[in-house]
Amino acid sequence: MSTVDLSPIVQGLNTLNHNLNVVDNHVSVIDDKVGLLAQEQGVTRSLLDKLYDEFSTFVQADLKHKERQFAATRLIEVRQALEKQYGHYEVVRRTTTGILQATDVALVRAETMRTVTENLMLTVPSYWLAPALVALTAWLADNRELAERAMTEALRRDDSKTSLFFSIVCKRADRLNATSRWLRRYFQNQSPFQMDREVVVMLDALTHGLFGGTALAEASDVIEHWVAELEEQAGFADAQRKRWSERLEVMAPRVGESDYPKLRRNCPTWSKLEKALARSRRNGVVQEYFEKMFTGEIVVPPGLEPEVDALLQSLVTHFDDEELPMRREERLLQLIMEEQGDKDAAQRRLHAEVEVFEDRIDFAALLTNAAMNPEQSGATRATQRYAVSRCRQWILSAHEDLVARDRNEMPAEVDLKIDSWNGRARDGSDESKLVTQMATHYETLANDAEKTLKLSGGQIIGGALVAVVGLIVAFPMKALLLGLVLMLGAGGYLLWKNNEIQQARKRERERIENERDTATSTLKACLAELTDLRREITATESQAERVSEFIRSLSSTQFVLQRPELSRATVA
Amino acid sequence: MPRPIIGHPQEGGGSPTRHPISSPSFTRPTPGLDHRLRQRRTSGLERAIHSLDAGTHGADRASLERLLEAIAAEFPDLAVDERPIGLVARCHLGSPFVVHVCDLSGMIVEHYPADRSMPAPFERARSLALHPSYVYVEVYRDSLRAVAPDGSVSVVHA
Repeated sequence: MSTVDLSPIVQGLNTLNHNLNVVDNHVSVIDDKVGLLAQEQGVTRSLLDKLYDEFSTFVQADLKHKERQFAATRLIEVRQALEKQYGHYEVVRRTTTGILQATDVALVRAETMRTVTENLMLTVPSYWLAPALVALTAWLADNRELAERAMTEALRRDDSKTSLFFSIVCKRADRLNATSRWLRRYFQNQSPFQMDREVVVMLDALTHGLFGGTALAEASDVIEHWVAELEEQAGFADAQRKRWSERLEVMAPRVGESDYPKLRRNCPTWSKLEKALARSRRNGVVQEYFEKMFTGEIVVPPGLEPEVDALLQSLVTHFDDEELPMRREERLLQLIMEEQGDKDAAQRRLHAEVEVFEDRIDFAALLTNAAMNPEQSGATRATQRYAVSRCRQWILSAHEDLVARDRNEMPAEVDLKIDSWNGRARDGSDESKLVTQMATHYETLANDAEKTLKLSGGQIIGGALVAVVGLIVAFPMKALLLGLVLMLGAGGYLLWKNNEIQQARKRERERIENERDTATSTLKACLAELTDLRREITATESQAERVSEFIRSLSSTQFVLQRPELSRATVA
Repeated sequence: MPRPIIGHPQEGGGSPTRHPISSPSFTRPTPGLDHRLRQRRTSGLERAIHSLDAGTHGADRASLERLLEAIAAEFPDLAVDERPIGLVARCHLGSPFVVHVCDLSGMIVEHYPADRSMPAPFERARSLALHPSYVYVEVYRDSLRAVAPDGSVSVVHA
């Protein structure tokens, strides 16, 4: 046998194994290096992120720094422009303050004041306060002709501010007649869509009687025109009616669980009746709501008169409309500097302060909020009364629409379900008819029950069969006794059964009659409650009319100022 | 049985003149129209409604024409489809009649007893028409407008 030499193969395998080991070693080395690389990459990324953050912070800081520097430079420019364009206004304002103070203490001669103010006319050509000041000093010097000319010029330059200025000045001088006329003019200058913020304070003062009843009446004439103007806007009156409707609707009180318990239990449509009752009770709540609002003395808040005086101060010291854009820019730049260049933070602060620069409000919002949410809107009781009196047409429409709806949805008939009986009642006056119906129902029930209680066919046939068998057995005389027993037995059984049935019928009739009696009592109780319910609703109906009458009476401005229980006789 | 006055096919004297009214829109009135329809009604229309209680509109064509003229005079500025489709009021003719309807689309005046329903758009006005606070009720597709003795109008939306 020849042998095969495998040594070359073994050698080759050994070599292969060796080479694989070498490759494996190399792979391990590479793997280590890749791991190291990944680690280094992580470190690099972390360093990059840190660098990015630091760079971003630097950029932000740099931006803020640049903003701050820009704001500082620009602020100087804006202030210089303000000084150049409106600086002379400040002179007029200081002079006005001085003249008002001097007038109060009578320390300066009229001639001196006149000279100063006439100089101002020459140096401040377009500012309304300059001729107003001339008019004031001319008035103090009893120079009517000059006063009228200067006043005409002031009105030409700014009618609204001039009117407000003189209304407050005249009030300080206790010239109430002149005050009324100036106030009327001031209000006539306002648009109900965009009014001066000062209107809020003036309205508060008017409703508290600080300017007298005549001034309130004059202003009310103008406000009626505003309301008419607002109503011309498409959908406005409808929206107001809807708001008041919602406000009045939620005043409907809940009906107590112990109210009308019989009806509650036996009327399948009780929920409709309950709703009608709650709605009718709403009228009393509404009446009380408005009467409470208009009862009680109006106490002038202690801060109100000083607030009116402060208006005068602000008129003569604060910047005017044309300065507003630059004043806003000045304030924003100031805030940027205070916030160390953070423009967003500065703008947020400016936005929060914006009402100082916003000089317009919407009268509709003022009226509605004062009437409906006086606490939230900061309106006084007097202003709330006044606002409600101005809203009276909308309130009246809302109230009368609700009442009409309630009347329309009042159930004319009421379903009743007492045990097995169903019926319908109107107002409790149909008791005898319903009791008769109920009696008929139970009579039918009793008759039907009796009909079901009878000998069954099986019993009759069985008895008859036994009797026939007895007869057959008895007839040939062979088992007469048996036959007789069978016949008697059958007859006795049928009699006994019949007797049982009669007893059952009697018991059933008694049961049904008891049920009828109980149901009749319940029916009468339900009808009595229904009568009471209808009466209550009728009584609350008259309250609805009283509410309408009360709201209509709010047309008199004097009524708003006085206590209604004293002035009811004089209401227009 | 209700007492049909005009437009009943068995009545003699020819068929009534029909003034077709285009079907009004089912949308709520515009604010301007709503404002107009809330204005106080004149006493002229109230008197015309009360004349229905004389019950003469069946025999007297002129009475009916006067009634329709009074209605048209109340709304001269409104298009026909903006006006009410009919009027419902309490009937004082006596038992068994309780309400009457003036259907403006068919120019029909009809009296109804308590136990008979009026045609669909008018039946929903029954409660209001019978209420003592209102003189009559104007029926529109989307609402009822109840008129009080002083002419003031209360609106109930459908």
